[in-house]
Formats: sequence, C-alpha cells, structure tokens
Amino acid sequence: MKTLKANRRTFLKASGAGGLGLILAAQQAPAIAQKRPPNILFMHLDQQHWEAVSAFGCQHLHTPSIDRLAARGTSFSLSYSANPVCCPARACWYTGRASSENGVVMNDKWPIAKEMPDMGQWFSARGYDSVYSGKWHVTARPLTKSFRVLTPGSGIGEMTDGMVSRAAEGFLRSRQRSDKPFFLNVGFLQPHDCCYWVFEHRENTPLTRFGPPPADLPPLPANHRFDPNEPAPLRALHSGRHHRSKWTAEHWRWYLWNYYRMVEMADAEIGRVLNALDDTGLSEETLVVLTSDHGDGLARHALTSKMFLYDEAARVPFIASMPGQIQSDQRDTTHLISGLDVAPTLCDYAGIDGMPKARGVSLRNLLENHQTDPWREFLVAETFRSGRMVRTPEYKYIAYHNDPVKQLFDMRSDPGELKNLATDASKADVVRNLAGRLDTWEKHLEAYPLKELPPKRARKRKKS
Amino acid sequence: MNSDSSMTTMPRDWSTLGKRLDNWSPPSGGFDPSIQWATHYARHSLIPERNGKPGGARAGALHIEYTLKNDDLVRLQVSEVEKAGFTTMTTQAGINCANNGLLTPRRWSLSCSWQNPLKVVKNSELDQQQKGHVEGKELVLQGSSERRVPAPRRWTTFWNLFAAIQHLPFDASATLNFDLFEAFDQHKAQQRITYAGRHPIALKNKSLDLHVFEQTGCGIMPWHWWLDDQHRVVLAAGNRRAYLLMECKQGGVA
Repeated sequence: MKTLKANRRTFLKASGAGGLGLILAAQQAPAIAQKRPPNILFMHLDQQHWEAVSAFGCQHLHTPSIDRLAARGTSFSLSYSANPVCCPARACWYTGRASSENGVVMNDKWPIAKEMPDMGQWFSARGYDSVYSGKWHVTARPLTKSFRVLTPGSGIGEMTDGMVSRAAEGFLRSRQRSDKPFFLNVGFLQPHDCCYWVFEHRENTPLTRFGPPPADLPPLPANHRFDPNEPAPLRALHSGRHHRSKWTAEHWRWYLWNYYRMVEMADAEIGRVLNALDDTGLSEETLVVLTSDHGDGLARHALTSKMFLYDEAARVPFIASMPGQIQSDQRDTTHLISGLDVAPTLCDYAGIDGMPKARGVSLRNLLENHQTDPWREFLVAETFRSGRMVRTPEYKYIAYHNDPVKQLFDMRSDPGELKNLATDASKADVVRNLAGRLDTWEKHLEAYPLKELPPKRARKRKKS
Repeated sequence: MNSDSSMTTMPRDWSTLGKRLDNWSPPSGGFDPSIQWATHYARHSLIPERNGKPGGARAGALHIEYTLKNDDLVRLQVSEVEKAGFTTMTTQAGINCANNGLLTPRRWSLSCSWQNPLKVVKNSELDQQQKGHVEGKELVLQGSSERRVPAPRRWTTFWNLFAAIQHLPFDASATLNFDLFEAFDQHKAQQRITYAGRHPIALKNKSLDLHVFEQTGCGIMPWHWWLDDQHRVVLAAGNRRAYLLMECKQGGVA
C-alpha cells in the first residue's frame, strides 16, 4: 500500500475559520460529469480499533475483506470519531453536526434534536433510495422514520450480523439498472461483542475455555499502563466498570486474542457485501465508505471499551473506494479527518446540497488527489458532556470542563500518549494555543440545550 | 484462564442459559449418527442474566436432517431461522456431501427468505436463491452471478459440523483440521477441533455427564460442542450464540 504524506507547509499556521478548524476552500471538488448520481454504500463497524486490520500492519488477525477494500481505495490513518461512544458518534455521522449541537452527548439518555434532519431523510428527499440494514442506535430517532429498513439488527453481533450482511446482499443482488440510486447503510455490530466478553470476565470468571491458551496470544501493547494523575473522568474509568485490576497479563492477552477474532467475524460479513457489489457489477458506480463509530481500549492504558479520548478509543479506520475516481491502494498518513466529514463527503459524491450547518468537510479532494491545500490544521472530538480533544498533526490536547488536570501529548514522539506535557513549562505556549482553539470552536457551535438528566431518569433518581 | 482440572462448577455455556434450562430435558435413548436422523435445536443468544433479565434469550431454530444415500454420499437438509427485531430470515440448504470425516459438500442449494412486516420492503428485494458445487479445485458459487473461489484441501460448513462431530471418537486422537466456509461464502481458515474431555453438568433437576470438543480458528470465537454418550450434539455454543437440542429422532423427522 502506498503512503501519502503532505508537506508540513501544507498546513495552515492558524485557523481563523472557526468551526472545527475547517478550511472551507477545500470543500469544492471538481465537477465530474456523470449520467446519474453514484450509489452509496456506507458500512460501519462498532468498536473497531483503527489498527486492527491486516492491511494496516496488524499481525494478529486476518482481515482479507477489509484489506481488499483498502487495496481498491484510499484509507486514512489520522481518522477520528467525533465522539467515541456509540450513539453520539452515529448521530454525528448522520446529522453532520457536533454532539453538543445535535444533543446526543452520551448513549441512550440524551435524544437527538427533533428538528435536525439525518442523512436518511436528506438523501431520500433528493432522489435516493435510502435503505438500512443493521445497527442504528441514534437516540430518539426511530430508524423507520429515516430509512427503508431491511433488517434492524440487534445488540449482539454474533447473533445478527449474518442477517445484516444477507439483507444487504439480497438488496444488492435484486437491484435493477433502472432503479434509482441507492444509499445503502450497513451497520455491523462486531467487534462490539467484546463488551459482553469483558462484562463476563470482570471478575475473571473462569471456565471460558478448556485447553491451554492458544500459542498465538498477542503481546501486551507498549502503553499498557496509565498515569495515576489523569483527569477525574479517566481515573473513574480505571476504577469503575472498566476496572481490570484483577486481570493478569495473560487475561489481557486473552482479551486481545478474542477481540481479534471478533474483528475477523465482522470482516467475513463485509466480504459478503463486497462480493455482492462486485458480482452485480455495481462496484464501478458505487462509492463505498467503511469506518467505525469508535475504537476499543485494546489494553492500551490498561483500558478496554471507549468513552475516552486516547487514540485507542477516539481513532477509527476510514476507507473509501470508488474505482476510477478514488485513488486505489493509498494510505493517507497526514491529513486529519473526522466522523463529521462523512455527511459532507457523501453529499458531495451524490451531487446534492450539503446538510444544514454541517461541521465537517468533504474528503473528495483528498480521495481523488486534487488540490488539498489548505487542509484543516486541527480537529476536535468530544466525549461525555465535558470532555474535549484538540488534535493537530503534532499534538493532542485533552480538557474536561471543571477538571484542573489537562493533558498534552506530543503525538509524534509519544504516540502511546504516556507522557503528559501539559504542565511542562516549555509547552505553555502550545497549551495556550490549543486551549484557545478549543474555546473558539465551542463558541462557534450552536449548542443544543441539554437537560441535566432526562426526565425519566431524573424522576427515578428523585424517588430513590 | 482455566484448564480441564479446574472445570468443577457449571460451565459458562450452560450457566448463561440459566432458567431457560429449568424445563428442558435432553433427548435420551439410543442414537446412531451414521444412519438417518433428524435433530431440532433452539437457537439462543448467550448473554448472561443481568439486572434481573434472564439470559439466553431464544431467537430462532436450527433443523438438520441426515441421510446416508450410499457409501459415498450423505445428504443434509438444513433449515435455520434467525430473528432480529421485527424481521425473520429463514435459510434452507440441501447439501450433498462426501461421506468423509468432514462431510465435505460436493453440491448444494441454498435459499434465504425473509419476513419483514414493514410494507416498505418487499420480500423479493431480499430473498435469494443460490447453488454451488465443487469443480476440480474450485468452489463454484452461483446466484445472481457466478463466483469461483479456490477450494481448500479440507473444508466443510458450520452446519455440516453438527453431523461430522457426531462421528468423532471420544479421545485425544479426535482432532479435525480444516477450513470453514460458513454458509458456503465466508471462508474462515485454520479451524481445529480437539477433544476436551468429559464434564459434569448439574442442572436444576438433573445432572448430565457430557463430552466436549473445542473448536478454534480464524473468524470464530471458540466453540464448544457438547455431546452425550450416544454421540448426539446436545449443545453447540459459541461466544454469544448457542444451539440447544430439543428433539432428536432416528430415522424420522424431528
């Protein structure tokens, strides 16, 4: 796979554009004459670590289907979830708006802003057949109000991901050339089943296998430790339900081994959908995008799961493919992209107007190797209601509202995010600069008025 | 992580099903896996009891019929029902297999039919008919088009394992190495099934003494195949999915 790198000078020194630090000039891609709009296949995984793919160098698993897609398209290594939790990340994809704006700041309890359209509605109103197979999980927005639903999936990947891929396959194989273009969304749940695995092994529940451990248990990552002086929300993760203090090194490695098998399960389902696309000749006229809502701790910082802003949770794979238009076999290691870029990119390829006040930017110029300067100098991701991350090519700055502990990592010399430089006097200017960008970004948002707790839960708490 | 010697309490595959087993009785009586039989399994999710909600919810069924056609040929008839939300998918497969240790498929047909009560999706948009066969060193998969893939030297499908495992002896020599083609289209390499010994299962009103085979490989979580002394697969359990034997009939239809 070829690696694309941009010269450092291609980044702006400072973004006066506000918003997410986007450079709006990059939004307009050259018009390409087409007889009809392309089909769009948007596939997403749940809890897929950005590195857990063979094609990206992981030696501990086999992902021939994702590898195939990567080989025929362009992938990004600096791709970040807009909010590394299921519901928020998905609401960001589908509205193009930041969590603070669309209202979905955490799982399940905070509903999406009613008036905000989602991509299903948007594409349907513009001539697309918007269909959905699999996991949706956007709070308070019934899937059936936005898409034609092939199958809704369930909360267990091993039970229903096969149905999800079969439904998508059936849909693709039954398409007629005369049909209107489709916007097929396929939401796989794997490797999210790892959450159940962790739940079941919280107290090292025995009896999950019979023989000795497999000979190929992956090694622990180099950053399998954490700073005890983390911000309070992270300390809570280390002592709360993410707590794994009873796990031995072998337990952690056994977890990794199992996680990789779940990724392989997802890969097989992706392969079924790609085969259908190829067999029907639709590949040539279909934009395919594959990404994940968030990553997984995967033993980094002695964590599993998500809801935090270290790379293992916040960084996600992103691959786009469209033969003849998108560069094949390319890996972009330079440009920062966000989950908020999904909606602008899909709208751009569809040739329809962008979603209202979308905060991301179309990736089309990057994907097609057109003029990409200037590109954004930084992006922001959120988590919980209070966590914010500013990522530049060099640094990551993490701040939680009302928490005195800030974090600054030099992502080039310390990609494992182990050495917090926030209080290093020599980095004071960097901290000030990034905190300023964060302020600018927040002021730019049209924040959705969040209640302290949704009424139902608040009532329950009051009663108790 | 535990080895055989520590298997002294209820294994997780069984404990996760919890109260679902209270009224369950395993089929009993003689059984010969090498002549005609039919089995019916309930399909369960393997999610433990949590916050008062019982674990092991039922979501579908699996029915398998085995017929020895001649010394070289076995016929498997499979029907699997899967449920997700308001949709149900039924997969039916007719498989002519070599009468070898893996019951390797030679020729097959497969159909997927959907029930989706929402009128916005027609069944014809999702239903599928496929067939396939082995031709030389290739699998030929035919549906709306033809796809050819290299045939591994030793391979079978997940469904065929329900029959193949019933032919294995209960000792350490019983090892199968093969590639899996789940539903004929998902290639999962480097599968290995090994005998893991005999284990007691203490249910509410009964106790069982079963044999276990463990399966590991690419693209699957470890599977445990629980067999009774008659070589019946009583429970097949993966990470989050299990098939519990409800009926087994020799020579007839379960």
